[in-house]
Amino acid sequence: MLCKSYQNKNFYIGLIIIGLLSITFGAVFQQYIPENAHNLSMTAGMLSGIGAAFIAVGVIRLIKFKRSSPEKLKAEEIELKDERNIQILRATYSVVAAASILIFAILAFVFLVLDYIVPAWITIGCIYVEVIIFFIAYKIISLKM
Amino acid sequence: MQNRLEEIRNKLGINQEELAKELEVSRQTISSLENGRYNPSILLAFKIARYFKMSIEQIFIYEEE
Repeated sequence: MLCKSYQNKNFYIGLIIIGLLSITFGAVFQQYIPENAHNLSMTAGMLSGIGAAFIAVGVIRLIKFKRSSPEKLKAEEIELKDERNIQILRATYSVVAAASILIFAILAFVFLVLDYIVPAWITIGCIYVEVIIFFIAYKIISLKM
Repeated sequence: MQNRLEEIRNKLGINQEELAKELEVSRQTISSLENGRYNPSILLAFKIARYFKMSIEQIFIYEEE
């Protein structure tokens, strides 16, 4: 899915629109935040930052589409659709997923030691969510194959 | 699984880059196939066989362990 999107101009136009919405929402949200609410201020800043990043990625890719020769775009498409590259990507995702569960487990332990009960529960919750996603994804993918 | 890809390619005087372009895969995939580090999907095996006008068995050698 990501590979298909990567070569689709509409995907990047959508990304720019989401970015613009995110920046606008962040800026408007910032106006209504009380001065002492630093956490909300940071959230608004994050939204603006993510929006700016989306716009940057979208604009850069669209410029690349315009400037690159068809041969170069074709070569890029081949690289993306290459079955070995896809397998490498999937194997890498698996490693990252396993590592993230381990990181969450370590984080939960660290939070407990530091007596940060709420973050510890959130982290443990994340592990459960990840395990649930695993089973749902397994079920869906096995139905498709 | 072993294969005769490099041997057949050399016989026809095609380099890895050209073969990769024809099969619409990366050059690294051809290199990995030739080194035996990577086994192709059945689709790619068919593509390779059709390109060389051979059967899959003539290119890929399956050895039962």
